[in-house]
Amino acid sequence: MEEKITKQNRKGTRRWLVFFAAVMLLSFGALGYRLIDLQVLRHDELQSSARDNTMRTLIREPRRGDIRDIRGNLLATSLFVKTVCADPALIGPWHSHVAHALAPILDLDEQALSQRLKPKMLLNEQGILRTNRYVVLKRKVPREVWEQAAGALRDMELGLDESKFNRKQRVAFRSLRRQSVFADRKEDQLRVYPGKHHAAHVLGFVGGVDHRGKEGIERVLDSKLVGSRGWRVTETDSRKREVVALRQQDVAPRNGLHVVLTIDSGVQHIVEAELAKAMAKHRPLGITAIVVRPKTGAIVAMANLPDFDPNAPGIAKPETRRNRAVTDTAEPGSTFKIVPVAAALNERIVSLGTLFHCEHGAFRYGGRVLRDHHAYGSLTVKAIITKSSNIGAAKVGLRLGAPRLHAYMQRFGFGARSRISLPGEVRGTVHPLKKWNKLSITRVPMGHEVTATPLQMAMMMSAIANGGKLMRPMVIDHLKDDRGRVVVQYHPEPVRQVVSPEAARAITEALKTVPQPGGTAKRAALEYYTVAGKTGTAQKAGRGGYLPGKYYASFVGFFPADAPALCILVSMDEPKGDYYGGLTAAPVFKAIAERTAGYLGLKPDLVQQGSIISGNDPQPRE
Amino acid sequence: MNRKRTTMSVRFGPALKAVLICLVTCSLGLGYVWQKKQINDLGAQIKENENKLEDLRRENKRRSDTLAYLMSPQELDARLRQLGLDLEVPRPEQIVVLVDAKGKADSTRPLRTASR
Repeated sequence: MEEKITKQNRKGTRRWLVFFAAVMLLSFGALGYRLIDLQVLRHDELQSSARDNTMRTLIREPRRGDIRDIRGNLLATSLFVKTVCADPALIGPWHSHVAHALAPILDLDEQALSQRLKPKMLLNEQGILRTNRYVVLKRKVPREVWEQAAGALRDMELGLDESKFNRKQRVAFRSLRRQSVFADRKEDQLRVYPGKHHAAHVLGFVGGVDHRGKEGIERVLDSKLVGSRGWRVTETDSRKREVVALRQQDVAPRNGLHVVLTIDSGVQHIVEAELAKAMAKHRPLGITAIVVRPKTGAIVAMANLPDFDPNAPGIAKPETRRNRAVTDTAEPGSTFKIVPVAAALNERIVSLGTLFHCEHGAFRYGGRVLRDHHAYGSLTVKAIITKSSNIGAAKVGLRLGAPRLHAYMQRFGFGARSRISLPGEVRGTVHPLKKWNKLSITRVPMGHEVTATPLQMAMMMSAIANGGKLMRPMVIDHLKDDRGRVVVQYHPEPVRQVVSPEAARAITEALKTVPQPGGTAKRAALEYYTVAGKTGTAQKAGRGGYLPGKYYASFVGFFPADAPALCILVSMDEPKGDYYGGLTAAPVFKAIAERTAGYLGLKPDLVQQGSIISGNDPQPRE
Repeated sequence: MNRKRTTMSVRFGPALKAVLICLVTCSLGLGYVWQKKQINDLGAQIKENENKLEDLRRENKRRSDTLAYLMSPQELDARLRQLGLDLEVPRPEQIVVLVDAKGKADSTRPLRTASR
């Protein structure tokens, strides 16, 4: 009996063991299957899902390069700023509280902000119900303002006793305070022009979502200024904090190169201040001034009025954003008389003393009468420049001949771009020789039937000041990197020798008489420097001929005349009241020249100063 | 009966080996964990320093921009007018030019001057 019971017990135990073993086997089988399912069958899907949860690729934006003047003054710089966004789904019914906390800091209308923060249910194209989870509240928010906004949100008073919240409510309110309003991960940049209107036409501005240069130096050197992006491939933990040890790739961005211009902020400021005074006095449509170093072609200042603030180019009228110095052309008028006279002197067909009969103010040629403002008899070539005789200039042109005059115009750079590093430059107009009519040879020498930009006129005069050598205008001095190393150095670039140094000296002698008593620009004379210059007053051309009462007045000159340091052009488009270049532009030239000479410490050539000779060793040292 | 062969006798060699293996394994495990913690701490430290460096760079940039703005000619000019200091560039007759006997004066070059 006992043996039977024992046998039955053993049998039962074995059954249990078999059952248990089967359960274990099944369990392990199921686990094994799950393992294979997770590790093999769904490997790719799960791996990518896990990677999405932890892997982050962060784009590291480069900082756009600065623009500085030749003395290192900051003209344009970039700051990293935030794009403030919100997730209305997390905000829920608290949108008015959030709007109340953020509106004053972000400088937004509270009502409008509250509306934008309201959660909305939208049906997308596929008919699926979606909530608005990403709303841009404001772009280009400085970091300090963003931190202030985030702080205000954290300390926001909701009028509830939060200590009585359950866990779920606590999580919800934590999300509301810390995650509902956030800064976009992609850093944005704000271009800042601290001088506001200062050198606005040279600098240009940036625009668009991609923050690219749209005008001026910003546009021309955009590819150098922008730099190149870096990136970081890394992993984050469950709280979205970066796990530095798991960083896989870390490529630093290369910041944009810094641009150093030939512009001198001090001179630019003087020019802008004097132009503003002239603008108020003569109320022209536009006024332009250019200051050039004749030896190098370096542009020290370039200003136009009206101007604009590149910090907010969108609110400026398009015509104010135009750099008139390179984009606008006009018949230059009498300033152009320098070209035929210099050409004739260079060809040695006249000298400064050669006499031309000026027909007592009325010269009939080609069936038309050409007039002078005053009736002159015989004038020397020098006096033709001094008095700005149209008839005298026409007769010099006639002696020179159309082909040679045309060739010299081109050699002085008219009818071609000067290749300055600024966008929008136009060529001006020099008609082909075959299109010249019978009158052209008498009209072109006095600056009619030809158009030029203010820059072309300034460079022509600079060529005279530079011994007849035309230089390419340069506005960029060098590019440097973040460490201050010069990466690209721009050098003065001679274009061609237009006239001989002797011819340039001769025309300079004539130009020196213009600001003297008896000349047309007495108001351009400087007390301490000899000025060589030329006035221009051209009637503006329009449809159907010249427009009565509309003039283009200009003065272009350089000083000290025998060792030129600066060449200055001033031009006014339709000045009101006085319209002669000698009465409108010449005084502006004088004001700019006097202040600039003092600022740059140029040695006067008209006063004998009490010089103190330093040192007691007269022998030159090796 | 040999005492060494009794079931109750302790065989020190294998026991020592087992203990040593356990110790080595534990040490390796602890070392691994310690190392991971160190890496993690260093990572956090690196991140903190990176953020600090970035903040300092930003602050440096802000201050240098402010300095540049305050030193710009237009700002200085505005301040002079605002404060009524009536400063202006000296006129040439107020300037004594110190001509170096050894060098030739070049009128195109800006001169170092002293005003009186």
